[in-house]
Amino acid sequence: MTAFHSLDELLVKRRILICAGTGGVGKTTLSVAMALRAATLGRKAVVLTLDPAKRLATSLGMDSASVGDTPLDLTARLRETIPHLTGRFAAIMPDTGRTFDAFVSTLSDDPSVLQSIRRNPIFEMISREYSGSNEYMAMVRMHQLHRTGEYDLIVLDTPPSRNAVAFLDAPQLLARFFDERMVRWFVLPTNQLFATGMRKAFGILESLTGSAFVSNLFDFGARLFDVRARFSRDLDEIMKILRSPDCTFGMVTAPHAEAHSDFRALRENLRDRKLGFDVLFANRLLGAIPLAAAGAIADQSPIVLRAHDQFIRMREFETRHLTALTREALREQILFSKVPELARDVHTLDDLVAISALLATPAF
Amino acid sequence: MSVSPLERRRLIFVTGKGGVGKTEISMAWARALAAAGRETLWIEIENPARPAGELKNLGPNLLSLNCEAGVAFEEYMALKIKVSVVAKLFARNPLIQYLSQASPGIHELVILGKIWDSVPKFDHVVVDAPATGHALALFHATRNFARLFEGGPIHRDAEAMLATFGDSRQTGIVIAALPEEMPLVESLELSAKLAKLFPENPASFVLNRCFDTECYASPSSQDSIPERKSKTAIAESDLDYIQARLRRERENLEVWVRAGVVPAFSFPWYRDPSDMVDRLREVFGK
Repeated sequence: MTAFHSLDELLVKRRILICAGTGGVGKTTLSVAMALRAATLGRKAVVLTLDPAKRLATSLGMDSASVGDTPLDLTARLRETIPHLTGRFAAIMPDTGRTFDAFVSTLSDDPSVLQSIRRNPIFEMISREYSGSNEYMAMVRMHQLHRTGEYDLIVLDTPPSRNAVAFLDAPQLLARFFDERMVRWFVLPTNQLFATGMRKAFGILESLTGSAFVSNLFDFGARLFDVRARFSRDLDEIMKILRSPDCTFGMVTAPHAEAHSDFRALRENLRDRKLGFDVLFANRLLGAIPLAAAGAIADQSPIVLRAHDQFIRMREFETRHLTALTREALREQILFSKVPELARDVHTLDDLVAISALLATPAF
Repeated sequence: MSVSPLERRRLIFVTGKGGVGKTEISMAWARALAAAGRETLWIEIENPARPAGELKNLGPNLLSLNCEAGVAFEEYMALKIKVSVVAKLFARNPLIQYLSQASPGIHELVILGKIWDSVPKFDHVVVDAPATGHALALFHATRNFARLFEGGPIHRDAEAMLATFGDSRQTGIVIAALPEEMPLVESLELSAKLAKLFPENPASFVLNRCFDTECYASPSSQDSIPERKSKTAIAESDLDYIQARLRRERENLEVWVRAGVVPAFSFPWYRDPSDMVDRLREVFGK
């Protein structure tokens, strides 16, 4: 038995749905569609996405000017398509630039503390280059939205990464900056570095990197030491919410050769961390498209005939992988949702509404 | 500066948007080179499913490496600090390990360093590079971090590394895309950003999983594909879908046509990965 009978039930009962999956499978599209579906079910829903495709953002009526920290309420616009809409729908697209800087600003309310961190050249480098803070910032934003209590359902579209599991590892990676056992070395006066091993290590480091770098490093470490308590507290709170029954994960996948192992890796990781996992989507399925009578194909141009051969081969390939995924989802007692491939690119809010309706009714 | 054909370049990075088949393409590239009798190393970066630093034999002339920063850092230190006992102690010092893992610049520097260091040991090195943003960060972080070490040995190594990557006789950066709007647009944005880092070594493009490769020869000729009559979101039949997709892919490819991009390869959707190897061998074998 799965925890829910249908996706609709899940969207009504959970408060946070985190959408994971590898890049290019349609995570953002389905995240938006799920929030739309929840709104049609009467929920106050918000979708939080860090990397919307430009056209998708445009279709939601968002542009670079709407990028920011306040949710954009699109309920009125949605009523033009769904007149009897009872819920609310909003989207939020935080600025992905300068996320490490944004992260640092969560660490202290004291502007002078923040300024001393920002002035450090190592921080400056990290704030420009550190891409791993996107995931954590998404969680922080989700946490803030959750705390306001303004929304019944938050759908979080995870930022692009190599695999679905990377999202879960992000806070721990960031936490390494604040590793108590390490950071404390930076706040000891140099003459108190009793351990000869430690003193030697710094000596070698200095010979490789120059003394300016090492002194900046000490300064940076000491600044992190000052704010580590706040970071730990925030991280604990976020992890508590992720583990609560309010929150669950969903995975979006395409029926390709790795889908199976990706699914299992995520399943294992969520289980180890005691996090919920309720739904698996197989997106863009060709199986939903009815086959024309053989005669209708025979007199087509060579291009179409060739493409038709390819279409049939892709469909067979898909069916095979789908069978394996279905079995796996059943064994893991997870909802399995098959989403058909559309005949056009998703460009408008109406297209997204069409997909959200498809989510609710099994198409094939 | 002279430009070598892609198949002659010693070092290839394959990048592009998530889901475009970077692993499939880089692996086929490496297999095709190995089949042509070249000693080839295929590198993946920090694949958590495989042991860190694992070197594996994939067949005649072909090795694979799971490049991991911790392992690479230790090796790099062994090179820099000639006394191996000291190097080991240094690399295993908890604080130094903390730095090599937590500090983003060092992390990227040692990964690229390991790749760079492998090039002279093989005829070819093919890297399954991270997706767009992460690939850029890999190069950017290395360049910027190296600046913090001005004058020291790490700085010199980083400069030499970036010079190799920016040299079109030695290195090829291949951006893969699908004939879909988002990957195509993203490929151009990535190429523009890479051009700022490596102005002398423009990226090459590969189109993957085309619905039909031959009809893309002239994307603007729409004549033989009739327009969709139906307006339904899901295609009414396979024929309806095929026509819609052929037209859409051609339209999407206009993005490349307008930017003057001619892909080095256009692969159809292959059910069997060895078909891509065969296609590449036709070119590499000569």
